[in-house]
Amino acid sequence: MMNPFDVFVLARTKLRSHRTRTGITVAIAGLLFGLIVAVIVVTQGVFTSVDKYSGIGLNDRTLLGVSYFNQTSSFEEYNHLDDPDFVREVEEAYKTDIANKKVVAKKYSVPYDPTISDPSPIGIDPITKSKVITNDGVSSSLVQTIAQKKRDELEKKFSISDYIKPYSSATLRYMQLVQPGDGALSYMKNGQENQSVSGNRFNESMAGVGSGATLTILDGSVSKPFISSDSFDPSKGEVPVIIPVATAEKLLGLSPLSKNVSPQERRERLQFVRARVSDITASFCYRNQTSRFLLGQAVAQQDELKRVGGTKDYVKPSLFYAAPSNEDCSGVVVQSDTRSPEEKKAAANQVLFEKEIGTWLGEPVQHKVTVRGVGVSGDYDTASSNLSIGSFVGGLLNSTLGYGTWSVPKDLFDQLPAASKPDEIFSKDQTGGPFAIRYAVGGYLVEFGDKAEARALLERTGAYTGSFGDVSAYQFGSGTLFVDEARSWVEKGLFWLLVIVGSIAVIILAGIIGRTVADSRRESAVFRAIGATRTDIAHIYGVYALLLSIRVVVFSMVLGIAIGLGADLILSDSATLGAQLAYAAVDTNIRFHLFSIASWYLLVIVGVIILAGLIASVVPIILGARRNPITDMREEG
Amino acid sequence: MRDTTTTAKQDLIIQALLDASESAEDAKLALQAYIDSASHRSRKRDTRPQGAVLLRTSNLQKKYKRGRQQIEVLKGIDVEIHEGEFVAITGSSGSGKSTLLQLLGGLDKPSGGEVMYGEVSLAKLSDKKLSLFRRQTIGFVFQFFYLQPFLNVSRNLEVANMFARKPRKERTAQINALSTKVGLNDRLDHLPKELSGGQMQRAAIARALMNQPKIILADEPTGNLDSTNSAAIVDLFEAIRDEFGTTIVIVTHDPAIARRADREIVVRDGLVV
Repeated sequence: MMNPFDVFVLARTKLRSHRTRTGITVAIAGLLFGLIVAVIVVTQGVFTSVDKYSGIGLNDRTLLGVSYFNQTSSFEEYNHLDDPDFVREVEEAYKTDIANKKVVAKKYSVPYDPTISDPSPIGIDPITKSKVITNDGVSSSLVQTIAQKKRDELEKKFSISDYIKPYSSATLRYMQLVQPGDGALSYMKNGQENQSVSGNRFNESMAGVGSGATLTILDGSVSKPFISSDSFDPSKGEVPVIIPVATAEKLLGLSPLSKNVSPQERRERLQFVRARVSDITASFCYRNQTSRFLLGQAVAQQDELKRVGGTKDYVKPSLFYAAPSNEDCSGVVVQSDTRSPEEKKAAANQVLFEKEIGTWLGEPVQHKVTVRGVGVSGDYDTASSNLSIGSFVGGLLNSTLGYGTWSVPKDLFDQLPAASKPDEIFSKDQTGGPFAIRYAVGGYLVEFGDKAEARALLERTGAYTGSFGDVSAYQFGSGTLFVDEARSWVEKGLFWLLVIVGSIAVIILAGIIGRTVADSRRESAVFRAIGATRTDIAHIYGVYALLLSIRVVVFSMVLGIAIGLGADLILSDSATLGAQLAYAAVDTNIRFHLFSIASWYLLVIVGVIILAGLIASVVPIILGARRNPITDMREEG
Repeated sequence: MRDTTTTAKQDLIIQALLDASESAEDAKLALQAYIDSASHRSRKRDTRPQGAVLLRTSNLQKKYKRGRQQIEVLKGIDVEIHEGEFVAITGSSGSGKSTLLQLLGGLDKPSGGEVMYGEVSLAKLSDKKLSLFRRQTIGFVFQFFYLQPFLNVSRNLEVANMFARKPRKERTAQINALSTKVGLNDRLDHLPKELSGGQMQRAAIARALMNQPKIILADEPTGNLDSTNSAAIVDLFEAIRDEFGTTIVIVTHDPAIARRADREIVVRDGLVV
């Protein structure tokens, strides 16, 4: 064997003699491979950083929110209004109801005129001349009740435990939307009840604190990562809540940050809000329908007094109510009662009558509920800001309990004294009221030990195709399933990038090396004439190809790493802030880097380049070895 | 041809070479090289009678295929090249003289007959041994010089030693001695393209001498040179033969060169006339 140093000297001298060709080869192949390297180091960096955050927030948990909505109702498909049997059933029930009410009215000497209070829901269709339910009749409580009974008979009840039975790693976690069935919970802005508000109860309730706001009692382990204050004291009777950042800002009296503020300011704001979250309290006033009705009456009476009191037209009502203070959510009090004993008796009888026929709304019930901030949860405003890489990272890592959701940690809630959590508001039986019949209000929270099972459930609901059926599911709390999915797609993409761009680069590299070696036939013929063996020739050109390949490797690595480091240098600050904003609940100092060289792909690239160079040189060497040196010398001479 | 004392010495050397060489065949070649170079170094120019036979061809034939046509270039050549000779092979273009030279140097394989180097038939040598033969015994000089364009003069010379696995120190000494001999010691760092035709050919001759070959095979070495340079090259060959006792075989068209040779082999239509 030739001295390896001599082989190296000859190969290197040859490489240097073809400066232009070498330069072009290194530049083109190096550029292509360099770009691949850049993509690899950046994506690897992103995923490595994502991994670093995996233990924070809910990123190490796989939680799915599952909701049920019966879209394909067999009852709705059945046209009950035209069904003679249904009409007959309603007619009979109506007759019985009226007869019963008449008897009871007589018993309590209460005036009762069914044509005014309970007009018949049955009418005659002008075309078919048959009995049908009238338009007004459809909304009567009688028809609704009978329809509901039919619906219950026809429709299968959704059972979450049956639904998740096929998934052995699935566990149901506590999640309850607080939504009283009777009455409503109203936000007391600045601690004051808006007593003049009338209309849709949803608009007066949680919506008062922010669009789409809901109050949800949530499993303790799920809400735990979002708790930043340990000052919760159950004896104070305040309901602990995790508040969306934007709402918390508002409640602390801070004006929202402009879209143009720096990420740093955004982060400082977040830290400030988190530090001050235990200063936040908010009050809600619960009133059942009766309490609301009485309050409405009191407010109207007081208004009338203010407007026309003292004029000759004004007649003070015999039962005159005073509205309570708007700060304590207490019941209406009777300011004056000038009713005659007969009037009082008639009123008492009216109550007895309503109680007996089942239309009585009940005694007034009202409660003031005070909540206390114990933590914050990220919301849409924090995750999406004007920092593009930050939003991207925020999107990847976003860990939240739901936009607009005020979450009550179940474990802390359980410690509250019973008086602080009245059943009328918080009992699970109350949840959703009449709506709960058809909708699983608020849905269910299911935790999976096995991500594959979570994916299987998502797939079953059609989450991947966007075509949900009766059951819909979404990932709750974090986007780890999405990140995993994205990672697998990126890895596939990287593989094909490597294959496609790599092949182009290999073709260029191999083509040029192969051409150079093939062009060197006379050189090798002369070497052979002066005593080189075929092995010597193979060594020289093999090392030549190796040196060229190494240059390509070095160039592409330097280029790719430089791009990666550049990207990291420019974007890491924003990305880190994006990540910190995504984890609104947790103050983390982990840096989000967009650069990592810990990828097998880099070794693959080095291998591919060197192998391409060697194969490209070996083929012409083998072919050339069989050639007659004399012919080669003459051909090019 | 060999006396008894040299035979005894040879045995020792054979053993030593066997230890170092890969096979007895290598040893034989190495030994032959040793004996020949040793005897050459001690010789003065000895015009006649001729020395021992170094290369011998018997019924040497070479056919080429050009398309479907078969061309018979050599039709049965019998020549002998003796130690220390200056032989000119002449003949018209296409007569087969260059082919004969290439076969003598083991650069090409005969279609029939054989080339014997001492007792060894070149046709029977493996490619590796043939390389060994070329590097130890033969020095080629070509009409178009065939210096490696990417190597400077010094490296062009050295490369012959590289293939012969010579130690670096010896190479430097050899490069200095030979470049001085051919008058190129001030051109060692130059690339071939920076040299004149005559300088290039002198560099090529120096390269051919780097491994102290017994035979120089020169294929029209002056074909690309003017008459002054041609004469200088022939002078150089003579000087080499005189100083080192190297056998010189030159293929040439030039009758003036042929006249300066000890012997002329004329090839016509693939046969020696």
